[in-house]
Amino acid sequence: MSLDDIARNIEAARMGLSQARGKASGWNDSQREQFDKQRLEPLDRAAQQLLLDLAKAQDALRTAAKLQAD
Amino acid sequence: MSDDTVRNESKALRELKGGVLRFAEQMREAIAGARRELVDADRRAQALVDQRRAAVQRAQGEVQRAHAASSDRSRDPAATQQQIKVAREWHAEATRQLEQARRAAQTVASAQADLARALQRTEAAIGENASIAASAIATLDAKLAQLPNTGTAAGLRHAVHGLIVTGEIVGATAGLARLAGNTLQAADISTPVADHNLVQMVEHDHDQAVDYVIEQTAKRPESTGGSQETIA
Repeated sequence: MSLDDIARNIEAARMGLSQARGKASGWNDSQREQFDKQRLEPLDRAAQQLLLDLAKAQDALRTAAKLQAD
Repeated sequence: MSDDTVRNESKALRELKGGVLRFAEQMREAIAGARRELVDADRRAQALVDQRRAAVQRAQGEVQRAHAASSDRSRDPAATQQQIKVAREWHAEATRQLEQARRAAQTVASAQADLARALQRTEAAIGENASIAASAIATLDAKLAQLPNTGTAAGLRHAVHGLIVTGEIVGATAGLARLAGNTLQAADISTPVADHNLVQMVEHDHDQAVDYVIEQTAKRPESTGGSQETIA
């Protein structure tokens, strides 16, 4: 599995989490907002940060591949 | 709050918990995949360095053989000089390629180290938040299922539910606030739960929710469901 595939899987995981967040509509808004902010947003932020870190790793691998091919 | 509403909330909570756990599992798989990918890239880069080092050694051997041939007086001097020249060029090119492979391997190793740290941070953040979130949701769901279903107590469901939600959040937040001094901050992870102002805000809301329920319970007549909407 390439880093591109992994990045796509992370995006899919984020989308799944987002859909799950949207389904939990039974609570009142302020409670949901609090729970969302404290528990679920950090999960999504961690995934977003990982995507950035993966992009850096991909850049490094591309640079390495160019050096190897040169 | 009707039984249907309770059931719907319960279903929504279970779906949310399932979503959080699925997300955590998908992220764990992605993290493991990224680790494998970088380890493989590092292994391939090192293998190329080894391969090119061997090529340099072969070229070096060819240069030495060409020099040895040049000392053989029975051979054509011009031909042996040409042989030395070609062997030196081959050696220079092999050395250049080895240097490129080494630089590539260093780039990969550095990327692997950086990503390993990032993966560790992500793993810690997701492990803690997903576990606490799923646990809080499950506890909330269990408590929701246990709420009494008759008389005045039924009318209090929403208020109690709200209190439980806030209570679960406070409990989880307090737990993470304790962790904020070690794991999360050590890993340099910025999360709202590490924000003490937020913890205080939630605790304040929790106190207000407690006061609210007590106040509403005191106001409520013993046997009426007529004022349920004012609580909700």
